Amino acid sequence: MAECFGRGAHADITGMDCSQAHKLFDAYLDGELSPTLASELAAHRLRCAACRRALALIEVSSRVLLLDQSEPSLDEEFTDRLLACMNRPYASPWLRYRNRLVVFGSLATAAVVALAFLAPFSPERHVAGNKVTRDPLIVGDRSHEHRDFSVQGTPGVRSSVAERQPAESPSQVEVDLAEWIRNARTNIEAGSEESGAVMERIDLTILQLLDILESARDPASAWDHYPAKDASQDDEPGDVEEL
Amino acid sequence: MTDQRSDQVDRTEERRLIRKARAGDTAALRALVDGHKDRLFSFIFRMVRNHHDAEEICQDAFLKAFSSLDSYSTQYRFSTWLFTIGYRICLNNLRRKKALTGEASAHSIESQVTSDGQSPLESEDAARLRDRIWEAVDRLAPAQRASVLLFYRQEQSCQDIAKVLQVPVATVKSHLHRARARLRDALEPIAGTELGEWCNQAG
Repeated sequence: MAECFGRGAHADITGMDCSQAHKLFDAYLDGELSPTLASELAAHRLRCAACRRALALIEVSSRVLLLDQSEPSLDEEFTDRLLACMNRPYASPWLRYRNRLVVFGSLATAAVVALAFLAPFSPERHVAGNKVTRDPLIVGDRSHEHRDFSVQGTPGVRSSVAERQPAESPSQVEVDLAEWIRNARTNIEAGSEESGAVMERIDLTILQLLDILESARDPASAWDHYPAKDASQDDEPGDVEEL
Repeated sequence: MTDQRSDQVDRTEERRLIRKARAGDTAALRALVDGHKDRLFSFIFRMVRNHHDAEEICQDAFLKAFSSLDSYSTQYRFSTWLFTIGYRICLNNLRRKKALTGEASAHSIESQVTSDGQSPLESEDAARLRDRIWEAVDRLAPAQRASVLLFYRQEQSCQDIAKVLQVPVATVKSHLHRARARLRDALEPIAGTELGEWCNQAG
């Protein structure tokens, strides 16, 4: 009898052959075979050693997987620890997630407010002796350079962020704030491992934000304090568009 | 019919516990944890193969489940929902491990714990058989491994497994098909020794 699994089919006069039986293995193992087909498969299995062996290998595996008790188990205090964790602020992971969201949301809101506040104030850049306003305030066809970051008394000039041309690159302050937001997120996530360090890191990021705000008012002094990685870029020619 | 009624009672009791848990009842929370922690831990341990990680993931799964109890729909079994969360955290854990070590999770597996008489299979041959089967399971892709564990060890239906893995039922069946082929191939070399007589006589 040529009953080799996958090597040609043996057709019995009244029953199925190996290739037919093979197609029913999964349904049989999933418990989804109809009674009629289950009987046919059982009959073939009695006659065919190869199919009997193939099914038996899988059935042995399933028995072992079901019955094996060799894995470790949780200790008896697991539930107590879990419930204690739920009642403890900041140490609980789900509370950390929620608090992280609240804190970050507040900081992000503060950053957006600061951004809106600083929109009129764009730092000037000096490139090769030419004073260039990186984020000019444009009304109509005119561009206006300003030294003192003040828009008061300047007719026809608007300081709304929305009125800037969409093709403009963001100001240095906006870039710094975007980086600050990224750093705040990183600090908060890093601080989640130690509940006590979270507030310390938040304080640090707030100080950095204040530094950015101060730099917008007085770039000469503030850039010395804030460790902006792009600070040296100000002195490099060719990085700023001539407007 | 008896199983159906028993299942109905369980579901009713489960809904009662969840209602109370939502209200902050500690006893209800404890009952839900105690009712599912062993099965959940067993599944997670077999997925990540590290006791410490498995315990952490188990804890995180419960905490996440309880933190979002308001969004849980009682039309699904609590265990299905819990296992879904646990499975997702397992995947994140396995991805992180793979990124750190650059190896498949199967290579950082803890050594097998001896049965110490707890398993009905006590002979050396039986232990070897068990080890080979678990080694084959550990080498499966996470989705295939999860399908095998949930189907054979947790005795869940393909429909429930599909909900846990959040894939179609056909995908679950495909996972099981491939996993069975792998298990068969893993046992084939030793089928002539420990398994030989048993396989030939089975059926």
